[in-house]
Amino acid sequence: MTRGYIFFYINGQRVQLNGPRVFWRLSEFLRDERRLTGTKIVCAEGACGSCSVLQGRMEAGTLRYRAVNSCLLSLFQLDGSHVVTVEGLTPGEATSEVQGALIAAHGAQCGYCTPGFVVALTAAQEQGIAADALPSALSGNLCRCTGYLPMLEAGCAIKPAAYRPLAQIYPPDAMAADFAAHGADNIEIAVDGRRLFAPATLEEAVQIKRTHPEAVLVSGGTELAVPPSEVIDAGRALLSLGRVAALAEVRREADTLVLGAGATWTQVEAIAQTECPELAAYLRRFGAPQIRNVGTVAGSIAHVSPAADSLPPLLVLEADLEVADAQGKRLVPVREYTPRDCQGGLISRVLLPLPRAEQTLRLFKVSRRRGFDRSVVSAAFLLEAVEGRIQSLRIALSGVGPCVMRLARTEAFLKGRRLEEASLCAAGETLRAEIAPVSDGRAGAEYRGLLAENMLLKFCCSLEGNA
Amino acid sequence: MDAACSPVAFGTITCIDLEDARRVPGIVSLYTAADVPRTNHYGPIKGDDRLLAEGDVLYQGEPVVLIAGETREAVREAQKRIRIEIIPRTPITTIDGAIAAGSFLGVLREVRRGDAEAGLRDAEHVLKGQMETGGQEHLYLESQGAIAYPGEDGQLVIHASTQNTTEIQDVVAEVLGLGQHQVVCICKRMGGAFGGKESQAAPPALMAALVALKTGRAARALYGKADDMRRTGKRHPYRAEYEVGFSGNGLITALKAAFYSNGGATTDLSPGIMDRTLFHVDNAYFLPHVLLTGRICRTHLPSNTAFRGFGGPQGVAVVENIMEEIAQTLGLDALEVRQRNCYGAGERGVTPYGQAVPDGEALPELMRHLAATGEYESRREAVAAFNARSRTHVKGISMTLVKFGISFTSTFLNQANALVNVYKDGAVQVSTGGTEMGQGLNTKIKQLVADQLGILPEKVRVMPTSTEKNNNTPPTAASAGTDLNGGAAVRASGLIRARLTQFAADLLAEKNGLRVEDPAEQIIFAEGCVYDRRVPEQQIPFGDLAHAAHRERIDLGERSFYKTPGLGKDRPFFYYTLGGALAEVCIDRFTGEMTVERVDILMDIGRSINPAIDRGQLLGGFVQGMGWVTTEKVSYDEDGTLLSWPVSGYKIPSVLDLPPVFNVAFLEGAENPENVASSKAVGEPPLLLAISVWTAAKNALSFVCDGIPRLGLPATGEELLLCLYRQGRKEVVQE
Repeated sequence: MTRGYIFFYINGQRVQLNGPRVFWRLSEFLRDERRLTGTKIVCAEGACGSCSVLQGRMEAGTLRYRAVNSCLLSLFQLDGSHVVTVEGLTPGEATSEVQGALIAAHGAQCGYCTPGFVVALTAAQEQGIAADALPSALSGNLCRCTGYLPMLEAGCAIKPAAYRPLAQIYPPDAMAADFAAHGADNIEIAVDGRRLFAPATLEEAVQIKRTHPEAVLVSGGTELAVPPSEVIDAGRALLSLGRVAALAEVRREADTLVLGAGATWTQVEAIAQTECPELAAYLRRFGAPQIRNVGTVAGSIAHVSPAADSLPPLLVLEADLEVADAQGKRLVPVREYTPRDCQGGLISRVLLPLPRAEQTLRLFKVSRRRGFDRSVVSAAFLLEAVEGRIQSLRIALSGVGPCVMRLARTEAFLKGRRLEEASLCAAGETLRAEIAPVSDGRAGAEYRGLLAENMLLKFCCSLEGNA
Repeated sequence: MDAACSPVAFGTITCIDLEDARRVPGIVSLYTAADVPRTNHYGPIKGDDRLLAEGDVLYQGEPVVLIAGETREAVREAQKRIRIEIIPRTPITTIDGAIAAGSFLGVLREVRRGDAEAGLRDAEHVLKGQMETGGQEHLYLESQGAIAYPGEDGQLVIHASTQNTTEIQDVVAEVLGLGQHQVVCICKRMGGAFGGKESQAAPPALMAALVALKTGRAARALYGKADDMRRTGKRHPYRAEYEVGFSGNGLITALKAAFYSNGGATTDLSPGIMDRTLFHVDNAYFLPHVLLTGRICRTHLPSNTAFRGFGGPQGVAVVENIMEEIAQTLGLDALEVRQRNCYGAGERGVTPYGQAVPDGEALPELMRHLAATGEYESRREAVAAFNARSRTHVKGISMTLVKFGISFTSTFLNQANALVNVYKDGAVQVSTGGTEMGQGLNTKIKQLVADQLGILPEKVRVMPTSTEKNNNTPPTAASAGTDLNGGAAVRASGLIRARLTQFAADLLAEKNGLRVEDPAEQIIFAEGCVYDRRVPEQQIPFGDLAHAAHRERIDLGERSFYKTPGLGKDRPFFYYTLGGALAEVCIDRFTGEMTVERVDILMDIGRSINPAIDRGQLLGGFVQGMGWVTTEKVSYDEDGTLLSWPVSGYKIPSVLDLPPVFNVAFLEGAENPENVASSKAVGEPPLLLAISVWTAAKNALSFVCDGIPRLGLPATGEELLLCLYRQGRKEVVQE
């Protein structure tokens, strides 16, 4: 069936909406409408974590909570989920275990980032994150006062046994039943000349895309939602894919990772942990937990940013994109993909071949700040060498041209040469001729060019276990 | 409400068309400079700031039209519909451009001792150089904002996120033509400030006040973060041209240095900031012959302003850089050069501006102590060995010091007052002009007052800062918030205690029949009770005492004044906060990416009032300084457009930038008896210690570069890699 409203829960209370607020950002809804002003808005572009809240979604039959930036989520993306704000962590209690630990560690100075850190630390508890992974778990939250060490000390001081899980505060069964009862509905809302489609199945999504080719696809929305958004606030029809369960699947099939278009980078990182550790390590430098918890595989590809971190590995592993349209499903090599491929359809899956035993994958990202930053240049190498000679070396770079590129001429230059530093040095000139770096706010063209060339050497040294 | 701002950095306004914007539903009113009641001009030193542009525009983002509306959407829509026609002119954006055009703010400033020219002529070695240090965005998480509402008889109440309630009161009264008695400014707390809300909290407060006065309604001006970044000033970028003379063992004999700061469009606090630069070039080192000059460049950028350190870091960076360069020139260990030049006793213990550095052994001892606990010698050898071995990375290690002068260099600002009210139940409210911005001032004042009265801190409440209770106060700045406001609060509570002491002596004597000869000595205030030292079991709860005192008409309130003693021409500073940091870094030679591997800090902060708060200031200040010297690069293009915005385009440190080994310690047994509770100020000094990270990078580069590495500050990955590329010895990569 089709319904004309969205519903979700905030701190255990059901919220149902069908008016223009469906398009509001969660952060503004919480503060202006619900007067939950514990959530602080600072950057309003997903770059500081101050407005973090927990979003509980059904995973493997239960509600799993993750930290998300409320400034990047439009309310329509919340259908069938439970939002817990900093206020919701302590119903009837003075402070939670996490807050108590932060206070004891003097983890707040001006206090403006504090609710976001409370949420991030709570998310770390919900996911059972170990102490050594805490820095990474907190890397999506900026603080300008404390120097972070007190927050880490607080995180380490929380005793898991004393932590009261959200499932105890908010028994999941009734919510889960509510979500299940309405999860298969398609949503269609028309208000003030704006239209929203949020179907539950791929078939329905494809059908809508066919009948409304002008509709803008919204997946994780991390790029589209930055307010004021040309897309979300400008009144264009939206086709939200976040409710299509089939798009969120992630699994290994033979030698390929099958990634649903709507799979989040957090999901991909989890499977890569065992199936392709090099990729998992690289993914941990994507944005921040709050971004990876929302941002999707296909969203990143379809956005075709010249700085997309996701593309270099997909390019060297020669991934295929499965595009679903009215005619059915077809495969498009990622290298040939252009937005035109999706005019009458949408990306449904990404088929990512895993490196074979005789192949070596190396991935690098260079950014101004180590964590939570876009890349200046990122690089992927896939090597096959036999007896000290390069059988084939695939190279892809971001940040050195109008799009993320494979370096065909450099690859050809290196084919058959000895696998040694001198060969890679010699390839520098060819590489330079192949790229066209430009200067922008993040880095100058000279730096990008140098980085690109040095990546060859860094790759070479990494084979010896250095770099 | 909000403003429509100038899209260009410099130009002449030819037309402001508001007709279309007026028709937007929900727009209440629109104002231009012509609508400002008394004067459009204000400012902390010179009064050359403007509420709204008139005639010309002087920087991108300068407010031109004030928009008051019922909703954010209405204001946003009006912003789009306001048409401001400007004939653009070529802006000056850089120090070079300003020097070429002779565009300066204020006079040339100078600090001189001895004969620097002669000293350079006679020196065994002379090194000339130039150093550029970058700006820094405050990135306080709570952006600038204020709410104003009208009261009776033309009064205004303004709640502002400001470090200086008095200044808001002053400028609002001045601009709107009100008496200062008609304006109250209140600040409960700020979501961070770091100097950015010392003078530049004024525009939103003025906007809200103007609208409240004109419309008779409450008005709120709140910048979004992206607008805040584009409209407000930052730490001053500097250039220093220096010439230093030294002996064969690295002892400095003469220093001549010319400093240029990029002041932006107006004077703001730039002269005071330049003064502090010149007062901190010496840092921990004795400079016999010195000639330091400072000029403030006037450019078409938002006026640069106070930022934690207030010009000090820009001066200290230069002399610490010189220490590295002398060491690299002579092939000496930089720590040895620093030790040789360190302030000592006697005539080697006097600063270029004539103030004696007390305790000649303090700084050398601090260096020795830190070198020992930080294992400097063995790690220096390990770094050299690593660099001899590694072809992919290069490491560096460096120790820098700080000797930060505590006091406002504008002497009149070194005053404060406090109001302490004891209520009949013995609970206490304290009010001072000090503002809380996360630095823990309120907690420290609470402790100080509780200690004076012998009660628990929970019985003391520090009230929102308000000009109604504390008049004519200085900004909470210069690290001196606790010294000044705490000093006044201690004095006020001390006077109340003195009155209660006599009263308690009488009361206790009545009960136990023991005559009290010396009440101040014999009557004890502790743990919420008052008793005679000789009869400790006979206690009066403090609340009962207060209640009884009230019945006897004893005054339980006090308003006290404090001024820093002893300041004068040769003594701009009350005392110095000292410290040292030892940093080790590792640079990826392929990418320029730098990691800070270990930091050891030792500081003398006297007797800490609250060690946890002081540790927080130390950690936070250091990491903020680390951002300034590494990833935080403020950049404008030649049109005066800010490139390094919004938050995603400007990189403050994240948790992943913390050094994995981060040891911080305070000097044990330290005292500072002249100051409140024998403590020392701690807000700004740790930021300057992060310069050690930059000098460690310079040290690292010296292992692989030809000649002295020319490294700008901040040392971003880009800066480091380009330096390696231009000066790196080539055989290393291709061996």
